[in-house]
Amino acid sequence: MASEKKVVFLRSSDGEAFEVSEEVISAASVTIKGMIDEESPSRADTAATTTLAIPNVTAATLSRVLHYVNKHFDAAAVVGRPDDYIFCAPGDEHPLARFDDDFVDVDNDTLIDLVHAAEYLHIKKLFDLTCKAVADKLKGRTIDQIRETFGIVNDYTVEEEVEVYRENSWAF
Amino acid sequence: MEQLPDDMLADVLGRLPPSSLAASRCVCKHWCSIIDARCLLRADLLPLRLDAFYCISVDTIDRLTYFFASPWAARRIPGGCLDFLKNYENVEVEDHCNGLLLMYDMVVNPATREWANLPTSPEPSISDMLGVKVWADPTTDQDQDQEKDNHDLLYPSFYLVYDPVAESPQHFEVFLVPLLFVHVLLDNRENIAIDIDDQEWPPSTLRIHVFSSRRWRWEVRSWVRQGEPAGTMADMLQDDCWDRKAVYFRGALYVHCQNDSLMRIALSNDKYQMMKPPATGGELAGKVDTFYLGKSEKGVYSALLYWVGHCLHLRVWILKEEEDKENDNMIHMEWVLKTNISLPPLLANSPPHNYHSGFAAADDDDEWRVIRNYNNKEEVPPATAHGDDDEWDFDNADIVLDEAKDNKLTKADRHYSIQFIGFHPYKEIVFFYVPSGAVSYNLNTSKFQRLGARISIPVGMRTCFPYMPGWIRGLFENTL
Repeated sequence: MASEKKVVFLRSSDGEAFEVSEEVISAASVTIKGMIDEESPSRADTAATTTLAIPNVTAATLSRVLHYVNKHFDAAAVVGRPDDYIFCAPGDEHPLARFDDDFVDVDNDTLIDLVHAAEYLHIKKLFDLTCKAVADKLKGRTIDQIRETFGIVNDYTVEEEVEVYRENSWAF
Repeated sequence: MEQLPDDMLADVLGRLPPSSLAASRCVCKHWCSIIDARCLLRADLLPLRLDAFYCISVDTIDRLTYFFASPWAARRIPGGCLDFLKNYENVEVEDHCNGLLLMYDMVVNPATREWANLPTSPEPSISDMLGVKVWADPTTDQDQDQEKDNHDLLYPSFYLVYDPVAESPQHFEVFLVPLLFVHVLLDNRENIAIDIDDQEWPPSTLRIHVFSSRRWRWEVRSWVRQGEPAGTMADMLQDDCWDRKAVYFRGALYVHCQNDSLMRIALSNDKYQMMKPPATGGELAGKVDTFYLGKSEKGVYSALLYWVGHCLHLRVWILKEEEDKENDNMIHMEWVLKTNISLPPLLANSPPHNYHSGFAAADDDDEWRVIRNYNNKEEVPPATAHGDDDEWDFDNADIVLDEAKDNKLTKADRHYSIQFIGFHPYKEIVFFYVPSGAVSYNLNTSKFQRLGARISIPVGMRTCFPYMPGWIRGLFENTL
């Protein structure tokens, strides 16, 4: 069983195909596991490899997602308790914690694309990681900094702004 | 962010601490509507109001808790008397922070009636802390005694760090910061192998125990000192006090250490710094009565009460911080004088004693009072026109401190005690206990307000402190 490592190909929205271990991607992505399960009866007795279309994710993003998925699967095999890293405090040395920090250290657009991809592919750990990374870009920032970082236009009238500032004044 | 659909935006915003959610509500109408529609921000559950002074009675062996509180505030905190604790007769509060109390090995939220036992705390060792053998000539016979002395040389002080507003409502930490036990050090000088005139204190690397609620265990963490120590171990011998307070503010814990120096422990990195006291008795040509560390509107404050002759004076300083980017991001700290007054006029201006007895009349609802048993309906005042949601109006002070009245004071008046009981956590107001009751004093307007007359409160850092109740539940859910 272990000797015949099945692979699947994932085709991005812009037509690039990526090879990934079926076992790895099935463990990581609920969406793709569903697709593979649907395909299974028709390919049970053929040797043909499957190519799955991922219409919502570009090659650039898909390549990043698969990097994450492979890393976390490998690390899970080595470390044994893959979810422990979530509970590591800042300063704790853990290979995956460091990897995750670097993984989300990207510009806003790339990060938002990763949130979308993680949501579509239903990879919960990646979704949590990327949402938290976006939240970290907001945390502790002033209102003007948040608007600037994310290109948001202030649509409050002067009176409304005075009122909403007053309501939230305890936080500044 | 406009590209994120509402559900995903809500997923992102839902991971923010309350203060960032509050800022996000002000960003644009759409964000505000998402936060409000999903109730992501529950500001009503946060410890944002000074509703009471928590009092631990020292009158009896069986310690009891009660509130000195605005009348309607006590109705909101039915767990204040800690009757839900199995062993609440013997109450001693080690520290408190944003609505949580640390009592021995227990963390308690009186407002939600939730509590949890912490694992037994480790005993700090002077040898571990300094990384050298401190005790001379250990013989096998005395090993056991030696072990005991080892622990006794350090006085363990526990400090609670809980920031449900700017950090996380679901996590807290407890710091065990040892002070030198001066009289034990004096008694054992000949048994100590290190030169206490030479040994820096605190040591250049501060190795202390920290409890983290995330992992629910005690562990040793290290901080490297930037800048000067407070002095040598020998310098600490002048100060044999162990009732010390700490303040948590924006990512740093400030501990009142020996000789009134301040230790600033940064939680975000592994650096700590020491800061000199703002003034000494010698510099003020007076005798220091009380040094009090606190948190208020602009951050960390200190108050010093000192005697010049028979006159009690107050000085208040604000700790100003600036990051020195060219010096390894060391924090440049400076005590900036905010207030400098003499206090006897406070007595001269106080309303006369008013000893009418009996149950408070309804019109007394504009006074703070001592409330001992919140389950006794007769003692808790009935609801009045005041909404329970109204915070006490500390700004409604109209009596101006009049230094001129100082002259009218008799010598006897001057001997009345004036005791400092704390800072308002987010307004530049301080509180005193004077013979006629408790008063608030606004540092900016110099106006003061009587809070409650004919009351008796157990003044002391750990027996009477400002309390902001918080109602976020589930803090201990994943722990047992």
